[in-house]
Amino acid sequence: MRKAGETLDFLLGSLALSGKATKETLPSTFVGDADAILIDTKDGSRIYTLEGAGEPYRQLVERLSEAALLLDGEQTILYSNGGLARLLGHNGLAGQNFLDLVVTEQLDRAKGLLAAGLYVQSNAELLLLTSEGKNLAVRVSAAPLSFEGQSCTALVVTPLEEIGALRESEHRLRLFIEHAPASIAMFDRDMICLEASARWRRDNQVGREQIGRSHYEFFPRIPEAWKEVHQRGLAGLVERSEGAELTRPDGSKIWVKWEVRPWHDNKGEIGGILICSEDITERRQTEKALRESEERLRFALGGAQAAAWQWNIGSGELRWSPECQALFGRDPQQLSCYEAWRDCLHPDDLAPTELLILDIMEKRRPEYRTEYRVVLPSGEIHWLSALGKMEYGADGAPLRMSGLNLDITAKKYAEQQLAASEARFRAAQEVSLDAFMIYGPVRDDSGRIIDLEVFYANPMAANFCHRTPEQIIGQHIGDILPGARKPGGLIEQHGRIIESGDPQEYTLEYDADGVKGHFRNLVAPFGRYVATSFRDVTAEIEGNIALAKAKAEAEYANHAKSKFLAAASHDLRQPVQSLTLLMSIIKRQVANRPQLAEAVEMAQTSVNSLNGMLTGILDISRLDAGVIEPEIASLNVGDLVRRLAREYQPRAEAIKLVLRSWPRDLYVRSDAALLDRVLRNLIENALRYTAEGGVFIGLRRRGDRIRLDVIDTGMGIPDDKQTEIFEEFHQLNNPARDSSRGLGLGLAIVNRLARLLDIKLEVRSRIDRGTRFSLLVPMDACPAEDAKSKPQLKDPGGRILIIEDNAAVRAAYEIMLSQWGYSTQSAASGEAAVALAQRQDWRFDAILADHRLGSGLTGAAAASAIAKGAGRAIPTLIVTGDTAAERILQVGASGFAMLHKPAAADDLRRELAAIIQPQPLPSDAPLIADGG
Amino acid sequence: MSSDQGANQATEKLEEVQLRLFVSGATPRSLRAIAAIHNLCETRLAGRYRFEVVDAYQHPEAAREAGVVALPTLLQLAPGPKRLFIGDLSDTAPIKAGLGLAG
Repeated sequence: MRKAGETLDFLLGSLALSGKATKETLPSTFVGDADAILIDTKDGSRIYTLEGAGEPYRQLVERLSEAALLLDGEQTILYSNGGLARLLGHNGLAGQNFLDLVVTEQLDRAKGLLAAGLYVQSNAELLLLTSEGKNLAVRVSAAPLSFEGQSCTALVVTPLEEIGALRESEHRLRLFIEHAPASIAMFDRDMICLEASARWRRDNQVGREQIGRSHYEFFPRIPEAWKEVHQRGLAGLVERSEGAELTRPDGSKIWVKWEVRPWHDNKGEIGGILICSEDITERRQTEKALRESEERLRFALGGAQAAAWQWNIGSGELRWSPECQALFGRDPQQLSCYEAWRDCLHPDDLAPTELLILDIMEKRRPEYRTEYRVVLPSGEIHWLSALGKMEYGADGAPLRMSGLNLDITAKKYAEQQLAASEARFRAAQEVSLDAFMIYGPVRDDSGRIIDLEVFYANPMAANFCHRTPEQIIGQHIGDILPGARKPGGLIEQHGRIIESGDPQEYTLEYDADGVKGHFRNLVAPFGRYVATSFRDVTAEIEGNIALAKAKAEAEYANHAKSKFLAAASHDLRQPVQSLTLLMSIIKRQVANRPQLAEAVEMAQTSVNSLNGMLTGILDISRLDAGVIEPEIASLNVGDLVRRLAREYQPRAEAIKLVLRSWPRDLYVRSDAALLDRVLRNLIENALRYTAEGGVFIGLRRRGDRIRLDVIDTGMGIPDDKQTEIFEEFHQLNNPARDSSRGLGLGLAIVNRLARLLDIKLEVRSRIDRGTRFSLLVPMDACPAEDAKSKPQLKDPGGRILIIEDNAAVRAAYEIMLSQWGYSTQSAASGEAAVALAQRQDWRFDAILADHRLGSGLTGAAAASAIAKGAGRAIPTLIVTGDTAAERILQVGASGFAMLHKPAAADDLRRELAAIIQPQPLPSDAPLIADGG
Repeated sequence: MSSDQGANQATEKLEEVQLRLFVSGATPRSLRAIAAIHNLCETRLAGRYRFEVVDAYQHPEAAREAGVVALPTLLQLAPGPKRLFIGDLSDTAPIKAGLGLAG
C-alpha cells in the first residue's frame, strides 16, 4: 500500500509541479490507497482507473462457472473469463470478434442479439464453435454495460445441455406433478392454471386444456366461500380443511381434504397458489362404516347389557368396554387389572371361578363359560354370565383371553321366581284332594293321537291308578289303564280336546282296570298338552240317585195317599149321601115330636159334620187336581160378610160366643163361592178354637187390596206353628182328634183357595189372647152394578129320569123330587135306564144320574146314550162321589152338570132347577123357603 | 499535519461535522472508504454529522472543483477549515485528528 501511496505522492507532486493550478488548493492528507486519479484534459476532467482497482471483480467473474464475455460496441471481445475458456476451449479471446465464434448459419441471429443487447437484456440460442471445431448449443444472454463511458455488452453463455438439464429438471417436475397421487394444481395470481396433476384433472373432470386458463372459467359455479379461500391464499394465508363436501360438475358428491397455500417466486413474492386436494370420500365412508359398526357394537352391548373385555394374561391388564359400568358398577379404569376384577366377585363364587380359569389354562381349553355374582360398590348384587375365548402362544402358554359378560340378574331372578312358583305348584298339587294330571299327546305316523304320555301326576291321581306318581310319570296312560284305549274312552276324549283346543267338563263312569266309580273331569288344553283335574263323585252321584229315588217314592206315596183318600171318601160317600137325604126327610116327618126332633137334630148334626169332613177331603182333592177354576167377578164383599155373620150368629150364640162384624160396601175381584168358602172355614175355625169371648169379622182397605179379618179371642197359635197349621190334617191342641173339631183340613183348603184366588194370607196370634187371620183380596177398582135384586128360583117341574144303583138313595131321590113337584122314573143301571127311556119314547126333561152305576155304563155314558136315542140334548145332572181327579175331569168333560156327593138336598134342588131352566144366577142365591 | 490541530486537541468540538467523500464508482477502495467513514461517524459523531458520497464518474467537475486529484478523497467541509484526506481511508487517525477527535 505504502508503495502505491508513495507513487501517488510522487505523481501528485509531479502534477502539482506541472503547473496546473486548481481553483482551490486544500490541505490534503494521505490516508490510504487510491483507485483512480482525476486528470484535467482539454476535454474536461477524466478519471483514470488505476490497475488493480477492479481486481476483485475480475477475479469474481473469472471464477464464475458460467461463461462470461465483455464486448465493445464492435463486437470485439474485451474480456472473457475462464468459464468461457472451459466451455469453448478457447483461451485468450481478447481482441477477437465474437462473431467469429458463431457458426456461419447463425450470424444474423447473433448480430441481432448483440444489437439488442446494447440496449436491453436479450436472450438467444446459438451454436458456437469450440476450439475443437465442434458445435455447441448454447444460450446467450446479453446485457448492456457501461465501461469507462463506453457502451459495452456483457454476455453470459450457458450450454443448452444445462438448460436441457434444467429443462429436464423442469420436465421431471412436470412429470412428478402429473403423476402425483394427489390432486394438485398450481395457479398464478390471476388464478390461471399453470400446472395440474392428472389426478386433479380426473377429480375435477377437466382436461389438459385447463392449463393456461382461468380456474374460474372452468368452474363457474365455485361457491363464493372457495373463492375467498383462494384470495386468502393469494394474500399469503395457508388454509386447509380436514374434510369438506364437494359437488362435482356431474352432481355427485365427494368428501375432500384440501389445502391452499401460496407459492413464492424467486423474488420472494407470492406468485400464486397451490391447491392440493385429496378425495377422502372412501376413507370417510370407511371411517363412517367403522364408526357405525362401533356404534352398533355399542348398541348391541348396551342392549344386551353386555360388556366386552380383553385380558392380557401375561401383564394382568384388563381392558373393558364402557358397558362394564352398568354391570360392575365400576368404570374400565377401576377394573384395569385382574385383581381389580377378582375383588368384585361374590365370596361364594370367587374360588370356583378362579379354579375354573386355572383348569381351562392347564388343559388348554379354548372356551370359557361360567356364571358368577359380583358385588357392586353400592352393595347391590348382579348375576353375570361370562363367555370368553382363550388364545395360546406357540409354546402353549396362555396369552390372552377376550370375551363378554352378560347381565343375567333379571333372568336369574326370573328363574328363582319360576322355581319358587313351581315349588308352590307342586306343593299345592301334592296336598290337593283332587287328582291332577298333565298329558302330552302320543301320535302315530299320520298325526293321530293314539295315546297320552303322563307328564305330571299328583299323588291323588296316581292313587286312582293304584300307583305312585313316580310309577306313572313318563308312562303312557294306555299302558296304565288299558280301558282308556276303548273307543270313546279316555284317550279318544282327551285327544279330541287337544285337537279342538276347547276345555270341557263332564262326568265319566269308569269300571275297568281296578278303577270303579263316577269321576267328574275338568279337561283343558294348554299349549301342546292337556291338563285335567278330576275327582271321585261316586258318592255324590249315588246320593243323587238315592235322592231321586226317594223323591219319586215320596211322590208316589203322595199320589197313593191321594188315591187312597179318593177311594176312601168315595166309598164313604154313598152312605153319607143316603143319610143326608134321609135325614132331611125324617126331620120333616118328626117336626112335631120334640123328643124325636131333638134326636134327629143331633143325628143331623153328626151327619152334617161327617158330610163336612168328606166335603173337605173332596175339596182338597179337587183343588189339588186343579179342577177348580175360579170365576173372577166384581163382588161386594160387605154383602158376603153380612150374610155369613147372619148365618153363623145362631151357632155362635149356641156356644156362648159373640159374633160381630163390620161390613162395609167394598168391592173386590174374586170368585164369590170360593171366597165364601174361605171365609166360612176361617169363621168355623175361629168358633171352634175360641172358648170364651168372640169372633169379629172386619173389613178395611189396604193399598190396592181389601183386608178381610177374622179375629177371635181363642187360644192362639204359637209362632213356630203358624206355617204348620196350613198343612193337611194338622190340628193344634187336638191330640185326641176330637171329631167335632173337624179333620183339620179347613186351613189347608183356605191355603189352596187363597193361592188360587191371588189372596195373601196373614196370621197374627198371641197365645191365650187370640188370633187374627187376614185375607188381602184384590180390590175392584170399578165395581159393577150391584145386582141387588136376585131372581128367585122356582121349581120348574118336569119328568126326571133317575139312574141310581143304590136302592135307598134311589128311593130318597124319588121322594124328594116328587116333593119338589117333579114326576120321576127310576132305573138301577145305565142299561136299564136306556131301555126305560126308550120305552117311554125318550120323554124326559132331565136325567139325574149317579156316576158310578156298578159294572156297566156310567151315569154319564147312559145319559149320553139316552140323549143320542132322543136325538136331542137332555139336561143331565151327574152326582158323583168320586174324588179322584181323573173321574172329576171325565165327568166335567162330558158337558153335564156335576154335583158331588154327599149333595145337600138344597144343592140338588137348585142344580136340577138350573139345568132344566138355566138362568144366570149367583150360586148363593137364596132359595124360596119351601121345605128347604 | 495542520497546526490547527493543537488548539483543538484539548476539547472535542460539538459543531456539526460535514463530510463529502468522492469515490470512483464502486471500486473496492471506494467502498472501503465509504464503510470507514460511515463507521466513524456513527460511532464517534452520532447525531451530529452530515456525510455525502459523490461518484466522480458521475460528477467529475464537482470533483475538480473541490481540488480532488485522486479517488477516493474525503473532503471535510465542517468544522472548518476545509481539508482533504486522500486514499481509501485505511488510516483514520489523521481524520480523527482533523475532526478534533481523540485517536
